[in-house]
Formats: sequence, C-alpha cells, structure tokens
Amino acid sequence: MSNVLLNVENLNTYYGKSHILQGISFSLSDNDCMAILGRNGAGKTTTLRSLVNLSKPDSGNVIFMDENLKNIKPYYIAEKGMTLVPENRGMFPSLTVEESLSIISQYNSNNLWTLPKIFELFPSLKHRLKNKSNEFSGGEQQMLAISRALLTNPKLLLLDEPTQGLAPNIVNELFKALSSLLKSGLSIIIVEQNIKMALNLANKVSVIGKGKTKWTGSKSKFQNNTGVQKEWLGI
Amino acid sequence: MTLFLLSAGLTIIFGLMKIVNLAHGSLYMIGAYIGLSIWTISTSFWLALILAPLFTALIGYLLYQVLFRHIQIADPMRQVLLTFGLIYIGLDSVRLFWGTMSHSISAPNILSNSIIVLGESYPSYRLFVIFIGILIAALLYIFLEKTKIGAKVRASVDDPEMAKLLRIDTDKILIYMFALGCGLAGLAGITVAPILGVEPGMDMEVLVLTLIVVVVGGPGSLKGALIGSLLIGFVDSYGKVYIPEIAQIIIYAVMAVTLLLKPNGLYGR
Repeated sequence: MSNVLLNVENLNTYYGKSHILQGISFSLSDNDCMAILGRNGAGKTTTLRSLVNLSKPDSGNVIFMDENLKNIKPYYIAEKGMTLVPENRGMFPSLTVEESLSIISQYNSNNLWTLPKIFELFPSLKHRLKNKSNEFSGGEQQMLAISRALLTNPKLLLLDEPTQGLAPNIVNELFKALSSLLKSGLSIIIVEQNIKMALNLANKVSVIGKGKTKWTGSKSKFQNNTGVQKEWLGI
Repeated sequence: MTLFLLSAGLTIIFGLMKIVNLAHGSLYMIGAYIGLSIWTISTSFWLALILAPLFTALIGYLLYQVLFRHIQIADPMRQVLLTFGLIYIGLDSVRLFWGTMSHSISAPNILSNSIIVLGESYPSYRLFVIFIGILIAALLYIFLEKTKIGAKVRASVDDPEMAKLLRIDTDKILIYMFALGCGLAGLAGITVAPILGVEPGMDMEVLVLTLIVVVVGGPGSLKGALIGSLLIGFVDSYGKVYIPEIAQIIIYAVMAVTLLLKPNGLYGR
C-alpha cells in the first residue's frame, strides 16, 4: 500500500450564491493518475480550483501531504508541491518564453526539474525562447504551461482539459510526455473531455455529477461499470 | 514630467490591482508637505528629495495593509468611495499638521539660476525636473522589462491566478508595487514644490490631469503614461499660451478624441 498523497473530504464550494460543489470526496496515493470525468458543468474545473484554493471551499477538507490546506494561499500550496495548469493555459502575453520559465523560483539545486530536462521533454520550446507566448499555437501554449508547472517541482499536477482544441498529432505528443511524467514518479489529476486519452493515462477514475462525487474506483472497475458510464457520462 | 511621475505610479497600481486610487493626488500633496518639513528642519533640499518619496511610500505601504488589501475584490463603487474619502482625510490631515497657508521651498543654489537652451533662457531647476522624469522612466523600464522581479510583476499583471500557481507571491508584489507607486507620487510632490509651492488643494489640481493621462495613455501601461503625460502636458501648456479661450477644455477634447479612436487608450491592452 503506497502513501496517501491527497485526501479530499466532502468539499463544498459556492460561486456567489450558486452551490457548485456539493460534496466531493476522493483520495490519491503517490504516483496515482486520476481522471475526473463528468458532463459539462458538473463541477470538474471548480474541483481543481478548490484543491489549490483559487476557489475557496466553504466546507470540507483538502489534506495534501498530511497538511490541511484550509486558508492556505495558492502560492504556498504550489510551493508545497501541488499546482494547476488551467483550462485557458494562463499565458503571460507580456513575457517571452524565456521569462515565463525563469520567473519560477528555484530554491534548491537538487530540484527534479531543470530547464535542460524541460527541453528534453518538449524540444520545440528550446527554439522559441525569445518569442512571446501569445504568438504560440494551442499545443505550444499547453507545452509551455506544463513546463512552467513542472519547474515548480510539483508532486501532484492538476491538468484541466489539456488536449482541448489540439490537433490529434499534438494530443499524441502530449500523451507521450504525460506518460513519461507518470513514469518519473509524478502524480496527476486530469480533467478531460477526451475520455479515451484520460483512461489511457489513468489508473483511477472519479465521476462527478451535479457537483457531487458519484463514483470513484479503479480504471478497470470503471470500464466494467456500464451503468455509471451511461448515467453520468452518457456513453 | 511631474505628470509622468504621477501617472506612472497610478497606472502601475491600476494595472496590478484594478483599483483607481483617487487619493493618488493626496499622496503627491503629502509628499510635498513631508518634503517641506524635512527641508525646513534640515535646510537641505537634497535630503528632502530623497526622504519625502520614502516616507510617502511608507504611508502607501500602511494604507495598503490597513485599507486597500480589503477592497481589492470589492465592487468598483466601494473602491471609489473609499479612495474618494481618503482625499478628504488627506486634505484635513495636511491642514491639521501644516495649516492652511501656502508655503514655498526654494530650489538648491546650484539649480537656482537659468541657462540658455536653444537660444531661450530656461530655469535650470526645470531642466533638473525633466532629468528626474527621464531618469525614473529609464529606471522603471529597466526594472520592469529587464529584471526577473520585473518579469514577475508583469506576470502578476497578466494573470494573477496563474502567477500564484507558479509559486509567485503576488500579494507581496502588490504591496511593494503599491508602495512604489505612492513613492513616485511623493517624488512628484517634492520635485514640483520649488516651482508651484506647497498648499492644500494642490492634490485636486493634479488628480484630474493624472487621470486624463492614464486614460489617454491606456490604463496599466507605463509607456502610455509617458506618452500620455507628454501629450497632455504639451497640449495643456501650449493651449494656455496660444488659444487661451479654449484652454480649459482642450485636454478634455484630446481625451474624448483618443477614446473615440482608441477606446482602451493609446497603449491599452
């Protein structure tokens, strides 16, 4: 039995008066990859945002590496080892690629991720250091976004719709990169409309519907459970 | 150039916090008064020039910690009311501590003469003010565009949430940049004091001009603040000399035309 990395207990989050998350619970062990699936508007993005306190949960607990993250600032959570690559990829239009990568503070020299390793993973970035990221294609933006996140040296990476709007060959490239990240020991939570790709990466699945966790289990159990697939995903 | 110092500070604060600090003019006035006190006590203009912006920045820091921190996510109406209220508090504090009389500071001896520039006699202190403006513009440019901290500031302006996710302490950046913006207002106050004097009400005179500069230049853009302050400054001065009949409205006309052609300002995002 591997160590529990993240434990989410009965998370409730509001946007203004609308009760978006009404009870999200799951847990994740070291080197797990969990796919969070659900229909549009089910609360997947809000779940990821609530984990890093960008949307503050009103109740419930997020325990990451034995620490309760209640009232802890997002930048500290990132420092502790959990960061999010948002759906819009969060580009900085006024920064060059080089600047985007260099602003992430590297505290100690035994960091797992360094610039040379990033260029090994995504070689195309190396030739575009002086470019501004808003001149990039969607695929390049996604690679830059993931690279930046890796430079924070996360233990757990949250990915929100990473393949959205990308061409199939880029999706393949991204899939290979993410697989190699998992092999290197990283844990990932991925929210994805491309269910096939998500299931190829994941070993665990959590299904969200109407703001509640409806089903959680291993990938193989999910694949055999056509009832859940039909009721909450319509497949 | 004073206008540039003011609008640079205001535009930086707006870019980072999306708050229009209407009390920016008050900080300019307070900077001038603090400079006045330091000058009176020490008789050194140079000491006042250095310390007044530092004290104003400190006041900005405290204001941020006590007030601005809490209105960042508030609706614009509350932000306007709060910063508008600060204008009155600033004005009354100045009256309380320094009285209602107007004061003057004399420029240091070395800058009190005039020199000939392009065939015209020009007071050397005014040249010095222009020099300060250019110096600050250059320093700000280097700081924001060429340093790592500057890149972090720009990242925080572009997408504060993403910056946080990348281990950048945006709250800390906000505090220091807010203080820097206030310090620039204080610097404007002390540099202008030998030319325009120090009196209650000097805040409102510049506030409107500064807001126009920021709107014309494009809120959040430093380059916009520079070009906008030159444009508005020249139009205002030349307007008063050559077409005094419409001098009162000409800068508003410039603003209106700019907004019609470029609704986000000259260098707006």
